[in-house]
Amino acid sequence: MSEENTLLKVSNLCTYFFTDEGTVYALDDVSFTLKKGETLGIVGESGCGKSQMALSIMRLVQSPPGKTVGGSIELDGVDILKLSKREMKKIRGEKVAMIFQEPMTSLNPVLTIGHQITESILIHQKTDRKTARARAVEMLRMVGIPLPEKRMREYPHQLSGGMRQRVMIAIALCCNPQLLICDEPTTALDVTIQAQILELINDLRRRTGTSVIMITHDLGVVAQVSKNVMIMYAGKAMEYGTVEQVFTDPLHPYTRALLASIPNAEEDTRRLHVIEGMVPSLAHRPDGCLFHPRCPECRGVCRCERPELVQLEDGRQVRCHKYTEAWKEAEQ
Amino acid sequence: MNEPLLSVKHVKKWFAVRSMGRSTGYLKAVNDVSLDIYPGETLGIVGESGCGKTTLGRAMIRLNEVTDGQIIFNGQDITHMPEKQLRPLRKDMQIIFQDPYSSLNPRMTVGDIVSEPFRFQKLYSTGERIERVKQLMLLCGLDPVYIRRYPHEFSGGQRQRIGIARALALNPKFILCDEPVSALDVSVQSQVINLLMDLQEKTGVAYAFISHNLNVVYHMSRRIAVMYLGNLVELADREEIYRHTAHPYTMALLDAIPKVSFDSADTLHSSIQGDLPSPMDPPSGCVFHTRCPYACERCKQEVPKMREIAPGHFSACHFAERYAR
Amino acid sequence: MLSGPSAEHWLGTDEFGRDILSRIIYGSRISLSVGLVAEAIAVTIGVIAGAAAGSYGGIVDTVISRIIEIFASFPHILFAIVIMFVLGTGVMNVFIAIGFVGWTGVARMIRAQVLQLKEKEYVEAARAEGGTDLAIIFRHLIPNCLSTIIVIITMEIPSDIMYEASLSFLGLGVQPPEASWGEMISTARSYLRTNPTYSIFPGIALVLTVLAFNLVGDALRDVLDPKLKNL
Repeated sequence: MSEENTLLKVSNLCTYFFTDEGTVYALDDVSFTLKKGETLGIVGESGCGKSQMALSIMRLVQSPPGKTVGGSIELDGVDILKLSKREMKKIRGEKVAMIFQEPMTSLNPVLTIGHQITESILIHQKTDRKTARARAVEMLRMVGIPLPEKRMREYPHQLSGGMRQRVMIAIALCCNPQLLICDEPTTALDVTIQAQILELINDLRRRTGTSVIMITHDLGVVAQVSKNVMIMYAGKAMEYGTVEQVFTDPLHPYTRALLASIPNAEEDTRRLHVIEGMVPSLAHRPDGCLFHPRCPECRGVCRCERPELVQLEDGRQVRCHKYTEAWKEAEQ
Repeated sequence: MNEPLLSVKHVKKWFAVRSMGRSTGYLKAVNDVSLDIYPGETLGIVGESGCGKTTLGRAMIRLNEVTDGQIIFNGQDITHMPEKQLRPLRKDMQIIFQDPYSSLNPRMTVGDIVSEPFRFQKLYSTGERIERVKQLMLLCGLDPVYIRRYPHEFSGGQRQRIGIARALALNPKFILCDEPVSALDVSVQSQVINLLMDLQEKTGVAYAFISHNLNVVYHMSRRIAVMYLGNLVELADREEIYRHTAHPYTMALLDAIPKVSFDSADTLHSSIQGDLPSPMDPPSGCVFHTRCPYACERCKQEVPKMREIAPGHFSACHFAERYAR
Repeated sequence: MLSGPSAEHWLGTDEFGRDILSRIIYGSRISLSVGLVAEAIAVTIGVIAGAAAGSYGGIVDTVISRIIEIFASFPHILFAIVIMFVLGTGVMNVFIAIGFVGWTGVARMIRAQVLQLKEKEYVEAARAEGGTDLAIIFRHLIPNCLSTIIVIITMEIPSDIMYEASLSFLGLGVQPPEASWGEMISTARSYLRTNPTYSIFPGIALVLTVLAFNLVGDALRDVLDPKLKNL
């Protein structure tokens, strides 16, 4: 792994929310690296902290009550947590861009599509309006919108959900960001449209060399677009590895259970695997391993000791006592 | 095969669209759909948003009035039956909703919610009702001590169980499941799917299972109906649909599901392009022709009929045999 | 006769030498009951009309909505005066007149809320269970309008008390020697320069009552919200 190839290095990132009911550990000690031109999938159920991850990197965590209390986020060697608000504004949009689940809420309903793209180009680049417009048309064409000149004059409500998401991608990419964060970009879309959007994101990544963080609850989506995947549970990274490693040979009991609980047409099982119980509240976390109350392989040590991230030889990481030396010794 | 429990015959549901107080056209939410549901089976209904699957489902249990066609439930034509006469029949057809939040009255306790069907149908005494509710809660995996709690005190999955208990209260023959797991997390989703399947085994209830998630529908159903823009395009046993797909739209749907397998990374391809046309102004001929990779002149002009291309396998494509897998 | 506060008459006496404190206490009977009874009449008519319009829709909705518009197009006080002329003076007629004038606002808000609630899936579930229209209105629609209703009541009671005062001022409402705060304030208006306390004390009573109703309304809304129970 050569260092200069790394675009984003997140180390021990902690984002907490200080509420009346206590501290909510939305992100607790999360680390990962992302290389240039790669895609990382972040998967988890609702409330696992995956969206806070995106907001933390953008430094858009709602504050108060939220605060990134520890760790570092190095983008191209610069710790963006140490930047001033002004410098951060330049990073957003120019180096890091983000697209959201519901494009309608991020588009201004009373301005034309063309106006909105042109504006965001003008904010970040020193060009005149005419060049910016030309660039906007070019961007719309790039994201596969037919008749871009006509679409420039239309308002967001005149477009379908898929088209709006394409517009959002165009806005996100208009300044050639190095990192594109996609927070559930296809959850609100139909499957055939979802496939089109995922294909587009993949295609653009290949053409522009942008790195992508794909945040989703859908394991299938991650399998389609990313090289590496991080499984999150209750604010912590549970497992990290390549998609191939994690999906063919899941190590963490949570990952295993999650994969087994998806209905699958290829393997016909009458009963689905069930993870008993519920996701713990992030304000009242269980002792020991956060997954232990639902874990079928839980033992004494899991109940009282928080597991550390175990590094395996093949580059994989897993947060489970099972893979520690101590456990292996106890086995023998 | 035995008699169908529910028959939908050439059902149409058109909504008049008004602008400035004038009728400007019709939104053809459901257009000439016919299908049967047999006792104890699960029929999956799949389609993208706006395909009319929810409207059709609501029409099946007469929560919607149909514009044209017939709905026959348990041998009786309920299409235009007056509400008073229909009320006793409602015992046998119930519904489970998608949204575990808006489907439960926030001002009623679990006990009130689950026992409401008894009240409306004037069944049992108060004491018996409480007993029944407790049994139903147990059946659906809820602790009966929570009988006096309000919906907001439960998680999404538990709320969905309350909704299921309510639907089961009258021991119905048929339950319409309208996207019952779409709003739930994967791990909770599997709990609810298993519960629904266990209940079917125990009570012999028939389901119409509406979902946009083909994997879930495949898992739940014996037969699957695929809808597109208000039309039924394919109907067959689930194995048939998967192995011998006979409509280009079904093929596209199947291809579009992201598979949980690593080898497909970077080889993703969407087989159909473009957006859903507006149901206000559906395309001429075959409604799918604007996005169909195999469309030809005939598809633009002639409306395809549902044809039985193999025993029990219906497809509404002119060239079903030629392109079938 | 008129005098300011003294040890004997804490709030002073009026033009006939009557104790103002006693008259304020006595007047509260009418002022408060006008608020409560008139508002009860208004809410009853308004909720029934609003719920019917909202849940049945169609021709029922059109008819009720037009009636609401006709009622609302007159100034309320003018309309109350007309009713008082027809019915004649007297406390009971004040209740009726004010109640009959105030229902349109309630009806309009309830109708809007019912239209929203009607789309909720639990209402559909009730229909699927075989619930009658009336059962659905009374078990599902109206209970979920409760917080709106309470807000309306607490907002409207003070204005009803004010209407009563206006009517009494015009000589149509409470007749002397009966006392109500409105009647006292209107009478005291003539002595505003020589003896301001005469009008100030009934005014303070009015303000405190309005404030109290608002506080009660807030508290009631919290209590009735099931989300805040058992926390």
